[in-house]
Amino acid sequence: MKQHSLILLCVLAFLMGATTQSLEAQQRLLVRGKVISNADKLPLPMAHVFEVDADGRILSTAVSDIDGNYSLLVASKENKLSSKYVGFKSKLIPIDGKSVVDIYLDEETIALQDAVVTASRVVTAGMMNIPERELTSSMVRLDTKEIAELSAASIDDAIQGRMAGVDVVASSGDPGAGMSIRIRGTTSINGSSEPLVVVDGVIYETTIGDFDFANATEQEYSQLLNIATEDIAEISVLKDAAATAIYGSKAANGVLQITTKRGNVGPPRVSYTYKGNFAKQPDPLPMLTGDQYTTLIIEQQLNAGIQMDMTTNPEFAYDTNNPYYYYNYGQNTNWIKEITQIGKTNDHSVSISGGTSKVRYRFSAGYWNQEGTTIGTDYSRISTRMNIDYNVSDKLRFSADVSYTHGDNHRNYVTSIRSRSYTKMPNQSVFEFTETGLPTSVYFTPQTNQQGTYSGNYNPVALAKEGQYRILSEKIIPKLQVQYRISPTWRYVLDVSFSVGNNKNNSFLPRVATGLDLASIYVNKSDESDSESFSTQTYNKLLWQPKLGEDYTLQVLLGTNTYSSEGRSYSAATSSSASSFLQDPISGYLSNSSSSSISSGSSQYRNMAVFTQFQYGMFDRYFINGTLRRDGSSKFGDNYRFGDFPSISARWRASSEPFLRGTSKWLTDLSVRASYGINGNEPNASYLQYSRYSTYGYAYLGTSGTSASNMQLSNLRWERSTQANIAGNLILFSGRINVDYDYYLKSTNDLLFNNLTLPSSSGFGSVGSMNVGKMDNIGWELNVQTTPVRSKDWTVNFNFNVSRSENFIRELSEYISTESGNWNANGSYLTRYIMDQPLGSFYGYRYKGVYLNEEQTIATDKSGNAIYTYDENNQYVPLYMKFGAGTATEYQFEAGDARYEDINNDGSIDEQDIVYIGDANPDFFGGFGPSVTWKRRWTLSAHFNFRYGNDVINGAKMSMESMYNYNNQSTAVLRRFRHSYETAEEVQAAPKDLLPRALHGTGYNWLGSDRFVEDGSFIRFRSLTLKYSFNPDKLRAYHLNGLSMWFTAQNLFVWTNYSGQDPEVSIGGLSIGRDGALAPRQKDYNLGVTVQF
Amino acid sequence: MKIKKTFWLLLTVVVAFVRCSNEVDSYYDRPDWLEKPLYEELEAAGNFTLYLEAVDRTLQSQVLKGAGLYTCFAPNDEAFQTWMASKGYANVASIPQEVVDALVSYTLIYGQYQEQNLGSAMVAKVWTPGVAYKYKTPYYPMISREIVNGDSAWVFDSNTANGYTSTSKSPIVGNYKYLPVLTPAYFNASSPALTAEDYESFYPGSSWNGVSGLGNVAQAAIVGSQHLAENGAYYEVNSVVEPIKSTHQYLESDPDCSDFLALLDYKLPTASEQYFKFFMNIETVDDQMKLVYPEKNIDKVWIKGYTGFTFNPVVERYNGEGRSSDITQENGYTMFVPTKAALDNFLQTRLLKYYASLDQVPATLLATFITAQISETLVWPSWFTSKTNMYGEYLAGTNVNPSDIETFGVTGRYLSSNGIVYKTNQAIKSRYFETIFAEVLLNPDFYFMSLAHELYYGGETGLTELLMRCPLNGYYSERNTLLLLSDAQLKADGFDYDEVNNQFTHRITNTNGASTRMKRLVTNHLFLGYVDTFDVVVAEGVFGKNEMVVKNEGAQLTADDFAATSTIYDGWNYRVSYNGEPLRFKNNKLQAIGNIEMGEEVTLTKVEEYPNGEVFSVDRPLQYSERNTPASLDTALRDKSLWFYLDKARKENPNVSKFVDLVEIVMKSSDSEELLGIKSTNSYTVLMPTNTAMTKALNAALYPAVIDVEQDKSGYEKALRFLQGHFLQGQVLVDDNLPIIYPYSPLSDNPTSTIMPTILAVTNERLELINERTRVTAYKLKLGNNYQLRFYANSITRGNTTLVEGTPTWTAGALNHLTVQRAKATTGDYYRSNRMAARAILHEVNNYLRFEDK
Repeated sequence: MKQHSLILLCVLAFLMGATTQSLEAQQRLLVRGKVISNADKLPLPMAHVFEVDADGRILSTAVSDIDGNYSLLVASKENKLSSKYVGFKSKLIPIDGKSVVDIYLDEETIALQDAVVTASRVVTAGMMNIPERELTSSMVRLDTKEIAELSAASIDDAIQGRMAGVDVVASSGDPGAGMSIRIRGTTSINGSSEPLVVVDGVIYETTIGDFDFANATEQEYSQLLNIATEDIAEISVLKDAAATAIYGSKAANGVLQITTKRGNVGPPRVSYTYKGNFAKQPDPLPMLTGDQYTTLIIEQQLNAGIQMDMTTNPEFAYDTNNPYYYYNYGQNTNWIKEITQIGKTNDHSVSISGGTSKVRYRFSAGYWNQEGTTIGTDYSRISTRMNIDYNVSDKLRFSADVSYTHGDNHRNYVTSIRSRSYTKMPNQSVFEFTETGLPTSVYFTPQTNQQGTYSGNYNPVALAKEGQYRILSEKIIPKLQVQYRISPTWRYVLDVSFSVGNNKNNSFLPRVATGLDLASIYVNKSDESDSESFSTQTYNKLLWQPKLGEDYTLQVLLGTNTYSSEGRSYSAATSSSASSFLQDPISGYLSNSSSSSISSGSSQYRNMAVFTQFQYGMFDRYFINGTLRRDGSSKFGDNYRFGDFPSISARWRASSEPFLRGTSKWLTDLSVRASYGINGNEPNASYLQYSRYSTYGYAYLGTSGTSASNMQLSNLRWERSTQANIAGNLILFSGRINVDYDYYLKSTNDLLFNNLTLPSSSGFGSVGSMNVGKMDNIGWELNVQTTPVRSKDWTVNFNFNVSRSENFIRELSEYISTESGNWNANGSYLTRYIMDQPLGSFYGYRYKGVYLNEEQTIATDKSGNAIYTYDENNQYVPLYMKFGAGTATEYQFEAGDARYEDINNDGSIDEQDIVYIGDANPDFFGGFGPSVTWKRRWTLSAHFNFRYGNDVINGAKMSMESMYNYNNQSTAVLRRFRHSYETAEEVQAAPKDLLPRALHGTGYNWLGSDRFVEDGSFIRFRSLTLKYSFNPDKLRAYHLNGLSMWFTAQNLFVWTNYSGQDPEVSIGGLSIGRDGALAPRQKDYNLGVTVQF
Repeated sequence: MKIKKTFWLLLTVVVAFVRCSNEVDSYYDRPDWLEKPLYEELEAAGNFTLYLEAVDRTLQSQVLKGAGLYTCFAPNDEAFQTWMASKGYANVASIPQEVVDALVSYTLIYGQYQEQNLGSAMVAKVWTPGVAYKYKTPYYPMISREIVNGDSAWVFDSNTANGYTSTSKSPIVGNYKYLPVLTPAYFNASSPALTAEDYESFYPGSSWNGVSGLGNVAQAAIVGSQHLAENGAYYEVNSVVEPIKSTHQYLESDPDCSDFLALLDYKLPTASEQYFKFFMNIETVDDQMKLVYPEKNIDKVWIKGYTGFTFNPVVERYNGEGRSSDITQENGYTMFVPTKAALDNFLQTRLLKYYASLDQVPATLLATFITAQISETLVWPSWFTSKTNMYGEYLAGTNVNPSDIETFGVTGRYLSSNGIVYKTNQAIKSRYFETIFAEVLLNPDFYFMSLAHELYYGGETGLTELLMRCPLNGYYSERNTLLLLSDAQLKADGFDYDEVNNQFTHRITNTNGASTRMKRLVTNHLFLGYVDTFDVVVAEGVFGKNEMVVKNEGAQLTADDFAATSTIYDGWNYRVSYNGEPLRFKNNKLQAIGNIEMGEEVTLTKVEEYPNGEVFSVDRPLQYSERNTPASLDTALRDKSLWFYLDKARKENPNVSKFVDLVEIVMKSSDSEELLGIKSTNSYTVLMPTNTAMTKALNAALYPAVIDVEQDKSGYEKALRFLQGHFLQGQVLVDDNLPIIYPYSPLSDNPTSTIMPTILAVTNERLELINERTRVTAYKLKLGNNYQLRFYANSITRGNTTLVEGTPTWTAGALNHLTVQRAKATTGDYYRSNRMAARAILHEVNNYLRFEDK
């Protein structure tokens, strides 16, 4: 893949040179000559020749032909010529009025020796630039070439499954559902486990106001990053503590490092890329029709002992005398279909870049326009970015980056429209019928029906179309850098970065969307909120890089970092405006206190750090790196305000040892790395160390009062995670096989637990954050990159990565309940925190099918014999199976009820019958994918990601087959038990896949049991890209430098035994491994064009 | 495994556009074992083509094709053909739309009733077999034209007993019709069990299909067994069941019922509205109907119904909407419709006896009569003998060897959609017309009395109910005597009735005083019957303490014969009224204390004899106080004090002077006639020991010779204690020469004796007694033909320990017991005993009572 991209680059560079030459032939003087190697006097084909003016500006360029000949139209013969050739030193020759200038280039001898070696790039590892082969820490890098064709609005989507040890999961397949990124597993019980994002060396602030990164939707995430994928040059992930310790207090969950593209020396290059995308919602879970639904509802009520009274339930009466109800509730509405449309995305981006040795620039602008797959949703974004580097002199260099993004997002008034559409009663009509049964174009929005009142029973179409929710966001990020080379070995760098963000949310709920009574507080409800954030970051870095001879390298860095952010927000809400056209909150409408409010808030946060880092290398074999960072954060009180985060790491390149010299033919690199370091984590909220007061929302005798609103946490500490990492790198056959293996042990102390519930005797309901325990993460990662075929016409790459991560709770505060969930509540699994066991085990009942008749509900003893007993009338009667016998929730099972295994044979299904039934943690996860290039024109690449060995709670199945309330259910419930099977033959012939009977609001048919726990292993065909680049020779006629087109399909299919919609479920938090998705992930089809001028 | 395979496959095959998870899809496919919707099941069965053709013409076709949950009773082609032929329809298409709509809707009932649940209903959320005999269908008639107040108008049925309810969701709530599904489960679970005759008497052309089959649906029989469907179940029936009539519709349709219906629809010639039938108008219903029937040019819709008797025969729902749970499936109202002759007979002998014409009969009386013809429950023919009407009265008149329904006289019957209608040749009897109270209720002359009963004595345990105890409601022994006070007499007394405030007023007292006096008068004119024959356990002469005298079970009570004379007291008989006040009588002349004082007699005239007693009229009221010469407004209605009568006794009978003297010193207030411990509202029996006995008591130091409260407090208290033991509280015991203590407690096992508290309460810390009442036993001793009233003191005991000893106590010889002295007093028209007072009686006794702390 890497080689492939390099070749492509070369081709493009060549094309550029050639076309520039063909431009403008008027009034110019021709200079020609030959480019020759000084050493062997052989001509150098394809060498670049530039005309450079006195200011160093490049005026024209040419490329030498196969014999090294070039010709160049120059503006003035007073200018100079410059030439560049790979492996040679570039040279500047005055033309001096000559017409023929031969250019002799000297070989870059050292470079030539190390030609293979220096091809490995220098990477930004934290604050220092370190050659990749000298890296002592664990880091993976993803070239955006690999993902450029995807239509990913956000980066997390793009990196899914492409990096070992990085698990990216969409929390469900429904659009807009969040993604979560986990680097080396979950380290927090309920706090954020999301990594730190660093863009161009500057921490990207991920908290704006009360924005919660952990629960952000895909759109919110991308809005936050606001970086067009076109602008991204590289994404890398820092995994171990040695790599991340330099970021200290924020890096416990790993670091996601993004580098944007910058200008290169050369003539102006204009590039235009278009990506078009069609997104289609895949077929959702098939749901019952209106007819089937009413059958179910009446049946489930009957089974629960309720003969539905059609007088009070005209919705289910099909009363032919009452056409209004007959028609309005006699439909078969597919609500999902009604609110779904084909999503379309247009993504235009144009960039211009270029530069001289003095100045380099890149300017890009993008326009992204997306229409969501749910009606009423769209998103458009204009993003611009300018990166300028200016070399004032060899000593002084400035760079200025400015980016500005404007986003305009229309969303549904409520986020639950899609999920509500599944459960919405399908016999209800979208549009209202008149009393005589004639259709109208008015939305049918009854004030109340069996599904409740607003916001329980809204008409999804009406709300999607009429409800308004708009988010306007602006984000400006200027960043300035000054570099001063004090001496050849000393360098000083100052970074100042600002970030200005503004979000304006506007929502309005017109009456027509809900059909509510005018007196309702939801009628014509308008909400408006503004939030703005301003943050400043500075870096002062002093770098010492002495020349210690060829065999020794040393870099030492000393720096400080400050971070300060301020956020303000203001919101207002009112309802009952006089008209749907009056959509702003106006004080005059502040009639109803429960729906009207004005609030504002502000917060400030500061962080300061000093840090130092060194990197020392010997003989290209031994490398050692150390960092130390001392952080101070305004989120902690005086006692624990400062934290020290050290790390040490080393690398031994065995392949460079003399005793392995002989193997250099095939063994390119064999290294062993080890690291140890400490990271920190802060709580999300500020001001926890203060006892704060808040005002009451009402006054007493005209005077308002205040009350203490939180507990003062003077001793809140950093969450400290200590990580040890041992790794090996193996590169064979000059990089054709590249293997990385990492093993790590991460131990998190003083785990932060957010919103811990307190005994109310404390005077507070909960505490914002608390240090509660210790957790270990142990795992390994394997990353293999291969190039099995590399010939003239064919290049085949195959990459593969796999990881394993396990977590264990080691200690836990007594304040945390070690068990959550109810043993006697439907739909609930017990989760337990058991010491030294992974977080994420499920406990529940064992499901054994359905009681086919009354006889089967008789309890049996160990040997399977029915149990009989004497009742109060001294009759010898069978003992029937009960749920929770003797408790308030006692229930006697009847024919058709779910049958659970009575583990202890006591005739009662209760807490004691709960057993371990699964684990949400995968044994392995990772990704793989081949890419094939043919004749450098066609590229076909595919990518797969997988997980193996994890169990998933099929929550969607649970709720869609519960038959417990007025929610619509999936067509699986057609398999429900409807009548008992009495005789032996009937029992024999009974369907094997019977579901329990429908039972409204009672019974225990959907308890947390292994019925809903499934193997969640899967392989997903994540993406398939076919790209064609046009022959540059042919393009020239059209004045084009490059033209390529590609087609990408995403989420094509999934191989799995999982019966739900999507086995890919979110990880982390308390809801570990529960899949509530009602539709598989959407399939995207993208068409892209890139044109270069 | 699958994954591994796929993995290798993928390495070689890159593109494969195949959907991978057919398995997942099939999970959501319709299972092949699932039954089809009703329509398809019926179609597949093949012999319901005509029925389905009819279904296709209605909106119910969608329902049958898969929506909701229904049980369908589908007539087979043969049945449908027969029905069409009987109605003269050539084919299904020629049936009028309205008929086909009704017909199809009426084949459906809500909910799935599998075979084992047919005849069941949900009771407290559990299927209870054999309780339901009809089920709710989606059919109900909409508006129709009818005559309202003389004009033709649109009319809609009311859906609740007293009016019309709508829901918040829809102003129109249908009067849903029910379909009789008569199952062996219901027939067998009924008590007594129903038989084929019960069924066949209603459907003479059909035979009971419940012995081997699943039963019948109205006149049709269910053929074969159940057929389940995805949205319910269906049963094949062999006859088309048209929507059956409600009780009201039946009354309208049968000319035999027209007279009775005329009574239901009764309207005063001068009035614009009927007594019971109402037409109400609800604007929201109007608006809704206008929307639903734009073509009918609706102006107003009248909601029709009946009020005034619990059963509104228009309403299908049993007992209306107000019930917490709908049990319409389980029950219905039975209406007995008397023939014209029976109706006339009743009117003539009862109502028109007191009223010149029907117009003058109060509506409430008509309602009472109609209500009596209705039973709150379903009365199957074989249940007739044990069932009662709305008032709880046996339909057959009695439950002792009652006649069955055929003997009673039934000329026609109909199982309606909301009950049963029987045409009978006699009206159902009611206690309102057949007891002594009927005289009060029916006769307008006694309107005030009936009002007083309504105001003060209503309710099932009240006095009114007591007067109406008769065999109809299960009482066979009641024989009470009622004296009627006419409105004229009461008005003369000063009473009037304030209709606005619904209360009595009195000329010389406030409303409170008026009601108090009215109650006292009414209850003083009532005498309960008594048992005069007993199972006598002991030998004549002496009653043993442990020997019981038991009331004869089922013995008829004896009503007072006020004509009787006595062998003692110069022929005067003494009796105590229902209010507990004494009076005396002789030769149909009565005297209460007031009458005696006024020197007047109350003469009785027998009015009527009923199964539960006799009714007399009086020429003047019995008075408890002198009313001739009121000293003041206040005293005119007030009793004289007990002291007044004690003082009078001392004067007329010196034999008791020592006792009264002592009372005067110890108990009497110095500045009024009040006696210590005596309340004017309570009843007393005062035992006055003779002077001889008093001397004996003095010698026994039961009271000191000289009472000096200041100097001798203990002496005073001794005397008080001695006296208090002789005032028996709570009841007036007259010496009436009856074998029993009258009035006796019906709970008492031994009606010949009673135990009464005295006003003496003992407080003695040593004995741990606090305010402990002392008690005295009164009993009747038979001596020849006479029954002597006697007393002895009861001891207060705890276990076997006697705390307070009462003397004379029980002794077998009983010679020392206090005996009432019957001789004439020295002066006046009084005797030494049976000295009547207001709420009290004074007896001279030959001994004294003594209560001594141990």
